[in-house]
Amino acid sequence: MSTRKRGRPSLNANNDEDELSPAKSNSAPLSAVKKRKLNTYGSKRGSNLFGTLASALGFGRSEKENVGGTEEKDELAQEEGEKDEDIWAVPDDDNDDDGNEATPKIRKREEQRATPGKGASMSHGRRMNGSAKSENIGSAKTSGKDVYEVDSTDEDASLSTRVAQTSNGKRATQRLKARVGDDDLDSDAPKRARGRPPKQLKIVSSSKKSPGTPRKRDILKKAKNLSREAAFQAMVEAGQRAAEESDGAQTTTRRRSGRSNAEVEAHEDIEDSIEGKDDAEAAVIAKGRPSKDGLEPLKDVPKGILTPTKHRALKARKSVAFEALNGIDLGFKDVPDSANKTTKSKQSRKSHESSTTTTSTKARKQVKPVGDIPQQGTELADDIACAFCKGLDSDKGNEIILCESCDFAIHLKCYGLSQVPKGDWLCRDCEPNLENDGLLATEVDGDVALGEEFDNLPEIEGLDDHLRHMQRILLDRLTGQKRIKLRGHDEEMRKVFQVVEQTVLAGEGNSMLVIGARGSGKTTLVESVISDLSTDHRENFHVVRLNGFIHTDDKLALKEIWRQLGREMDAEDEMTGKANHADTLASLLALLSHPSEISEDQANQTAKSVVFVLDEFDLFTTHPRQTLLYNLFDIAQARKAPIVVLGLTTRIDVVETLEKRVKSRFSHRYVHLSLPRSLPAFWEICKEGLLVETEDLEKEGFDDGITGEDEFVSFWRSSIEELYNNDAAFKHQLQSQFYRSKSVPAFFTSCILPIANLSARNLPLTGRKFTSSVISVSPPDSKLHIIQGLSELELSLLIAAARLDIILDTDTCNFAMAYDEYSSLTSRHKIQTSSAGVTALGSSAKVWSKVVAIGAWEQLADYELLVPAGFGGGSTRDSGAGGRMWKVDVGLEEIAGSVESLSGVMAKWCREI
Amino acid sequence: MSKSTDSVIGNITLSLLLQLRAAPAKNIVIYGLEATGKSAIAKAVLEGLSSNTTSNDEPNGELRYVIVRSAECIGVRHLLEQIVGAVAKALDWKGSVGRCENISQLVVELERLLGQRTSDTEGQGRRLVLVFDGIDHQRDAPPTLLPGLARLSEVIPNITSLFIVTAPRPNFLHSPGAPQIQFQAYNKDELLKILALLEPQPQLPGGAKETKDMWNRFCSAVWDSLSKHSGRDLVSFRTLCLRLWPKFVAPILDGSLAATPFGRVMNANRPLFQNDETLVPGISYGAPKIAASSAQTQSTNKHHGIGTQLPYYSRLLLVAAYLASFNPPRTDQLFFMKSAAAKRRKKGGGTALTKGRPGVTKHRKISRKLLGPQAFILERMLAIFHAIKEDADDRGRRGTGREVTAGSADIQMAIATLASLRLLVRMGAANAADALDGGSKYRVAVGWDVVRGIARSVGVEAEDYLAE
Repeated sequence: MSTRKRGRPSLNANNDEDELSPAKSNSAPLSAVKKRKLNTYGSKRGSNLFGTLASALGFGRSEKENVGGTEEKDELAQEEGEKDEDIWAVPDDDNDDDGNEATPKIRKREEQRATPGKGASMSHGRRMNGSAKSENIGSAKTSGKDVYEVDSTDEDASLSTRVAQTSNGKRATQRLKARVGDDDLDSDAPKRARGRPPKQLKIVSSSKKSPGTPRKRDILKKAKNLSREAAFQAMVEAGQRAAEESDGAQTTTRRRSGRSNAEVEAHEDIEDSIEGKDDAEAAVIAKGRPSKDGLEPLKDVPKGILTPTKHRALKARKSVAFEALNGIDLGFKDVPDSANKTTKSKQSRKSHESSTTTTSTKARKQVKPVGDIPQQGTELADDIACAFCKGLDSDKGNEIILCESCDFAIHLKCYGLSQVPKGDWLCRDCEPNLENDGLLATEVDGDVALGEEFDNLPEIEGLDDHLRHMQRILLDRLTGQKRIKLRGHDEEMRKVFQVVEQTVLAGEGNSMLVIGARGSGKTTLVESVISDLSTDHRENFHVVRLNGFIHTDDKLALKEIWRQLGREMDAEDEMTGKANHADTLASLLALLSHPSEISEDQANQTAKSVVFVLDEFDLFTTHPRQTLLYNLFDIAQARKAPIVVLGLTTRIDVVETLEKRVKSRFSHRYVHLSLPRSLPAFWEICKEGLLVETEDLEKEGFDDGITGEDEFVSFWRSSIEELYNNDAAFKHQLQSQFYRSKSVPAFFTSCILPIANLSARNLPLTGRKFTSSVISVSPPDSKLHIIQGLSELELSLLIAAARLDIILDTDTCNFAMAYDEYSSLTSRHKIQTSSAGVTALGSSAKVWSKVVAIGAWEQLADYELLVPAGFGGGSTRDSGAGGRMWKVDVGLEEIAGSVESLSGVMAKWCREI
Repeated sequence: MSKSTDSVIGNITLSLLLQLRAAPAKNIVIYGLEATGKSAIAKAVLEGLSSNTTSNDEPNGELRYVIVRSAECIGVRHLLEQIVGAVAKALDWKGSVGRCENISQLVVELERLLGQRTSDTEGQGRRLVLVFDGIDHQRDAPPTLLPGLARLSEVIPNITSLFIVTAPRPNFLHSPGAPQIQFQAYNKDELLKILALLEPQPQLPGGAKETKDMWNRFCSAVWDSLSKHSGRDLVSFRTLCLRLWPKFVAPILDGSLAATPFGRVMNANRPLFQNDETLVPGISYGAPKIAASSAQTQSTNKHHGIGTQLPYYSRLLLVAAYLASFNPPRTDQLFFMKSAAAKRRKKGGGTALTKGRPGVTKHRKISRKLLGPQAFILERMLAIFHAIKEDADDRGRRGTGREVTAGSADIQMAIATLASLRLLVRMGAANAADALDGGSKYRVAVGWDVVRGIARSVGVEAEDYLAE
């Protein structure tokens, strides 16, 4: 399945809820997920807080200017920080920040938000904060709630420094916000520590008295950071000085970009400051913000964990998302607010943005590149946002789909699709031609909306009739009812013709083999030779056609020869009644033999030539003793009668299978029919099935008196040529057939539906109609399509059996082994889920009984996903499907890819041995 | 892609490919998993087409069809004669239909049946559609059957062959370019939609509407608890729903429960959804629940029943045979030699239980029990028999005091009886040597559960002797 669907992890949903009710989550200390959660959560809350404060102030413009300057340092710093992380940051965070801290902080934030949100002044809010913090410190010290204390001291310290350093209150709030946001971040801890003034760090370390946190670590931390902090402090101060010169807001940005998650936050801050005018808006924006994160963690990030594939995808997508963002911004400027809350917020945000764009285009330009070099590492890079609504949620029914070629990501609904398209999906920009609406309609009932192609229709009288005649002929050809002219095998055709002609005219005996792959035109060649000859000499020869698949032994073949000859020669019918093989053969030989050789008095036996066409010649060689071949070749060679034996086969070594006495009687004439060697040669043949000449129409019995016929034929020819020359989709279809199989019949089959659906209204044939995969009439590529329809038990057993392949290092297994593996996997899963506190979903973790499982096993064998290994387990009679040894016919890695909605457990089973 | 549109498309495609005036393909393949509506849709399309064309009063456009189900045919000859008979019926053939032993004759017969039509100049017009339903599961099919049938339409121009198969192998017709139409498996919504059309019996006292609501929710519950996991095709899902429905509504019908809170009814019937015995095919479904459960226990006790019915020495022989099958011969010294008895006792028989932790090593050893029974020489089994005889108590023994010796007629007869009961399976050629020769090979045909029970009945703890 190449449509990539990105399910947003459920924690984002949590985030959304958190926004509305902040006190809820975040208290459960979970392992890896937590990081991300906390990160987004924290930054969101921080910005939210900022938004509220900023809204109270009415501040908030371009604080983005100076971002670029500090970037190099940031990266360096971050690398160091990440190195450090292993040593001290993670335990630190686990102890300090994660679980315990969350709750008090939330509480505090609620207080904060409550007050300024109501329009209280900034100073009021800050005072509130400060007081709260000092209280906190005191209480924490007494109560020993050291984790809480860390937080509060952090904020307190930063607050105080900020108050000291900046005259601008707004900057302080931003910083406060940054601090708040930072404290939640696991991975940002080193940077946070770095960003902190040394004084504050001291507070942290000194105020920590928790039993869980060893002092050593703090010391280590201090030591590690002191030098960096010194440098950074200098930098910050320099930045602040500069900022005070120009605009207070800038410093914040810079300072923030000094921290690890510079870009997103910086960007967010811009928006927040822009939008922070009213509370509700800010809240909603905070919700929508991760989309930006998803869009913009794009460039080469110093990523820790992420796989390279994701990296690639994101990189490719970046520019598109950026453009789309801009374009949509402008487009939405005038749209009135709708009832939908989220869209409203989006729109309002966009309008805000666009309004500010005029004032700070430059700033914007600078911010965006920052966004392209995200420092935030791994947390959000996974998220892919819809390019239209910026939403990150990829729910069922409204998944985010990605374009195959440019990684353009968009919601289904935003794109106007109702369901996930099958196969590769291309966005409008990448699609060969732009018509993708009404495609289904085109395919199904041949009714297309009259597109812009309609105007280049030729003015031909009686277009409908012409088209119908054309379709009739073409479809007969495409389905193989009528043979097409052989192309590119003139030499071979001449050879065969010569041989047959000599037999018919000169009475020679001949034998010849026509060797070529399926679909290479062997039968077409022979039939066209025969029909060529029969135009002049029909009365001089008979044709006997035999097929190795149908005439499976010599007796049947002889009977059939007799029957066909008898029918043609009007021989007496009683011979067919004779069941005696010898008699048939004798009389047949007599019939074929030259009259002079038998006796003079049988003068009624004419010496007509007989053409034997033995299709699937190789199967005739498997008949016991090759009696038929021996006799035929003998007659041909000994000039007993003028016959020619044409053997058609796909096997190139067929002569080796002939017995010696048969081989010596064979004339060793071969004609090899090769498949077309180049694409143009292939097209030459295929074109034969798609083009109609005027005489063909006449031959088909359509009266040629209709006006406009020639025009239509030439129009058709030109449109087919046009398809080949200029239509990329059609060319692609042709190429895929050529490179995969070179099979002309397969190509014709793929043409049936487009040709049949053609009507005068959708006339110009386009390549789209060929390539669309709404209904495919081609055979399946593999048996993997079966897996999609398997029940869960069958799938589990299949996975278990496929695992055994790897685990046991043997390619065979029996039911008992697979069931053992299945039950151990399932029960392990059950234990894991129950120990993790996740309620096992009903029967998903149930181990089904052996009796039920063996039914599923038999079903798998029925679908040929299991093929009998042929040894071990003894006779099949005593043991059913359960007792035998089987081979799994699909690989473990194939299973996961071919099921659309594979449950997480099973995907894990496929992944991990 | 939802099923409805899928089938619509399938319909249209199929009719397109079958229709005379459209694109009469020679061979068409329909494939899809079981119970995805392949045969039903094919039949409906053909019916529609044949009635359409006859009413069209276009003399050339007549379409006849013949459906042959491979499942109903024992062998190839049966299949071919079915084809000829069905074709004759479809064409209103009055004369006699000849024998048909192979495809070659089939071709002849079909040509004869269609003869007067093909001899006409407009013979092209009439089209006969041969539907081979489930042809890939034809019994005793020679490898040339499918390619041969695919050649029918080449030999006789106005035949279209329609092959309905489950999972086509690549190029199984040996003729390239046959259009293949896939029928996808139903998903849950589609299955529920289809089942909603059923009228379950018995109806609820609340009337049709209540029954319908209940039925829909019931089907959904059955799907989630049972059918999703095993037997997710339409047929088995429907069978299961219909089978469980009477038990499900029984408490409502006898008045002990109200129909309205569905959750309560569900709770009352929870065992119904947790018992996977309902998924096992059997004939005791119609019986009420208690009887059914007793029948289940009976069936699980079947082998134990056999065990208890066997005479003492036969039981012991069976245990010995099991040990011989599952123990590698090199461990025999350890387990069955008298000198090793102390050692074995000390080992304490914890063999089956002390497994290594699963999933620790990358390449695990295959447990011998999982590999199935191996063949053993009769002599070895007799030796084991004598070894464990010492340990066995005489509880189940009838005639006391009589000692049997190796190779005595009684033991030989017991072995022969076990073999004739197919509890032991003779390996190798059937008439290679004397069945009771010491060198002839056997394999045990009963599982561990049965043997453990039997061994206990003769006072032998089979685990003590099992190498693992």
